[in-house]
Amino acid sequence: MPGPLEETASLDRLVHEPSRLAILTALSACRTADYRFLQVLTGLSSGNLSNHLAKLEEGGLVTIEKSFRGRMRHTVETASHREPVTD
Amino acid sequence: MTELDRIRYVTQYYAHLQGLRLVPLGLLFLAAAAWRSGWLVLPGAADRAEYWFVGGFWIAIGVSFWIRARYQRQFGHLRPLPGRNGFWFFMGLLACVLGALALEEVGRWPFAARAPLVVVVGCLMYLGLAHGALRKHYLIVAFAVLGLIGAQRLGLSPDREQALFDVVIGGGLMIAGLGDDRLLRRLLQSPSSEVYAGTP
Repeated sequence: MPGPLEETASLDRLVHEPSRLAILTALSACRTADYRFLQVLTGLSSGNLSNHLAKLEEGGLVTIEKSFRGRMRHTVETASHREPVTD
Repeated sequence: MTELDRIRYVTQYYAHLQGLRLVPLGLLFLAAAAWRSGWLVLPGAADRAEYWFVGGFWIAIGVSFWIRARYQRQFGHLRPLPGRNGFWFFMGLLACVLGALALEEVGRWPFAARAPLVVVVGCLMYLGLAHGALRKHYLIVAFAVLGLIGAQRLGLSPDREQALFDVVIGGGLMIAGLGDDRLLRRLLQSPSSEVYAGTP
């Protein structure tokens, strides 16, 4: 089981990376944002953005919901910021 | 403005900065001013002008929703934080206008100009100066409304005064809308590739 300092260090690496910090900043300023908005805002490629969002979701910092919109049945990913749980 | 400030600002005010949504309403007021000045002829408008205006108003509202959908297709969609969708700002403005009108009614309004116009100027000044004057185009609109207040004291004919009022409202909406749209596009420009380069 990792100690408190090790836990903080891994959290810092997760959050301090510039792209992920940009994504978290955006998500902390709204309730939810879709994939398109985050991509336009950060200028990240689709693959890069997906990777970063997946890492933030793994770290428990964002929630990602996938839904279908319209007749085209294209997937819309909506991400929202989740406050890390602290004791 | 730092990169994180840019991100925070444009995310918080994304809906407010969709300025092209104001343009149809601005065009309607400019068309009304042109009609009042005799530069625009509308069939049957001599005795049914209000029908033209109300019809144009609903068309402008419809086009505004279509423009919002276009913004969402182009730049994406987000749900703002509670209380950040402009509703409370609008309600605050409305409360100020009603309060000023009440003061005017009981004869305690300290300015010579009409109460709603003074409140609108104050609101436009605030929008123009807040957040490091990012939306400074609102100051132009504020000065245009101040010009209107000044012109009202020149003793213009009611028709001319009404046409001038329409020009200021229509022109103000156009300046605000186009300025906000320009700001949104500038703030949403992708950062240079070095900003997030080499970040696995």
